[in-house]
Amino acid sequence: MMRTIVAFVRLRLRSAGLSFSLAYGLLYALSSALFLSFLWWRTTGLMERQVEQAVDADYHALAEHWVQDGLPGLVLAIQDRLEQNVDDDAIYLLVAPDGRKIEGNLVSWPRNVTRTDVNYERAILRDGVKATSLLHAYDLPGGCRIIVGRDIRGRAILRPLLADTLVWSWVMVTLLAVGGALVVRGIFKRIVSSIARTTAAITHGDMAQRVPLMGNEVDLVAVVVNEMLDRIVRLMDGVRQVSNAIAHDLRTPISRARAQLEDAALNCHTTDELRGAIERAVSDLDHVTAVFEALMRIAQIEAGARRAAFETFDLATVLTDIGELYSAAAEDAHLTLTTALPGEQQFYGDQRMIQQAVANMLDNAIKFSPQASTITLSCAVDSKSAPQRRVTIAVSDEGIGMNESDLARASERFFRAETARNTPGAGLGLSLVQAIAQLHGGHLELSRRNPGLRVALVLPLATKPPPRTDRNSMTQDSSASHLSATPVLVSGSA
Amino acid sequence: MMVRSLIFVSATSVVLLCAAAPDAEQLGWHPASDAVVVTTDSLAYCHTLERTIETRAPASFQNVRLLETQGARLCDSGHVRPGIDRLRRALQLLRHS
Repeated sequence: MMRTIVAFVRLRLRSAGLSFSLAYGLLYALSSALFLSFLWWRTTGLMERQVEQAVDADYHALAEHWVQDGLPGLVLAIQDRLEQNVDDDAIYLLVAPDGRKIEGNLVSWPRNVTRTDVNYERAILRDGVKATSLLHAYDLPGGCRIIVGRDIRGRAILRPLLADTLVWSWVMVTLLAVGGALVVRGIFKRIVSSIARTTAAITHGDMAQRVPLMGNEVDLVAVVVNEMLDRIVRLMDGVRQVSNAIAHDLRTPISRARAQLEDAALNCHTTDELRGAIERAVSDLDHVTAVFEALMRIAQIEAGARRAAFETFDLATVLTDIGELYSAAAEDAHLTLTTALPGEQQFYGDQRMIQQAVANMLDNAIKFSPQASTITLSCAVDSKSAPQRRVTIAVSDEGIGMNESDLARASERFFRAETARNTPGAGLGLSLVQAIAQLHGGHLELSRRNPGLRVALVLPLATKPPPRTDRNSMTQDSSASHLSATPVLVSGSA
Repeated sequence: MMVRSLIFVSATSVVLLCAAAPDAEQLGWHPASDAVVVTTDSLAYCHTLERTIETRAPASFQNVRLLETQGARLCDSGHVRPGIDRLRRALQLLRHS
């Protein structure tokens, strides 16, 4: 039975809430016991010291009489003190060397009062009523001895009264501590329960649950947990979206390749027909491979693996070269490519990645611009001071543009706007641009024009490696894409 | 660990409170045989004070006489300590007069 009780108590004590509340209650009870004991000790000590000092002062005054007037003077002084003792607490006894009483109000020398260096607490009988006295014996010159004392009955009454008061105070404080401990336990349990309920709901698949905010310090944990859950949901959505996109977008070329090969096997009669079918199938499969390569490259960039290639180069020259390269492609599409570039602009980053990003932006612009329209490649540096200084590489077109909802999702992997469904592509171009922007500590900005779209790569103009504070967020998302976890700024007007 | 802490803290509290509690001697619970009699609570001392006042106080000191009379009456009616208190006050008044 006893073992069962002990086991039960031990089991209960493993509860963190109960442990906290017990620790709180015990600490409170112990500190109040300490405090009240100290109070009692100081108060009674002060009372004792006051009586001792009064006795000592009284003796020294009597000793003066002894010195000045001898024994008769001392006797008169004692008589006078007893006559004037309105407080009725003075005790004196003067005895001769043979022990005979000379003067005083004690009937005889008390037993065991022998030493002159200590105070004695002795019982006295006053008008038939017992009381307590504090006595001090002194030796006088000539062999006489004297006792000077005080009736400390008042103090003796006050002392247990004080002790009782303090003990009851302690009991009340302890009861309050127990109550407080129960409240603390309740609060702790409520906090833990709210987190446990939320995590349990999420474990059972309800990803919409969040830890409720209570308006106190617990919110620090709740906010972090909720942010963590938001992030998990975004990651899961990203994984789901990419999986769906891969399944959807890659099935078509694979199915087409399969159909072509099957058709070739059944219907091709000549070597040339067979080779042509195989080449078409290979072309479709190359497209699939290119998509996977693009995905891997985005993941690599997001993981920051390409940071080793960072160097300082002239951005203006790089952009001019790309502009010249794409002006031919623009002319073929009956478009005009204009540039607005500075004479020279030093930039620290991966030159090939920047080329790739700007090429993707120009590719998109050419792909979605109507004939006889203009595409502008520009580069501008803002007027902020050194650490916040940024360079904006923008490509503006006069094409079909995007609506607001498409803008918000434009950098998601495999996302293709409704108006671009019939245009060749895998929907990975802007994802790659965004990954490159993040690699350089910048972001991608998309804004609508009338007509057209402006895609801007905003990058910090650093001369040394940019801080890698976002590395975790990038590496964690490397296997999946989600828009809101990465910075893409969207504005509705140019 | 928690049980040990609980026992330790409880024991400490009890010890502290016991240490703070007054003992029997402090409360004045002495054996009756040890008690020393105080003589200034007796009827004889009352009469001694009366005689002292009679000797020292002139008849014109009305307040002193009044306190003396009250004190003597209380002592005679068995209220020795209140009677002595009145007589001491009379002596104090006499001194300050």
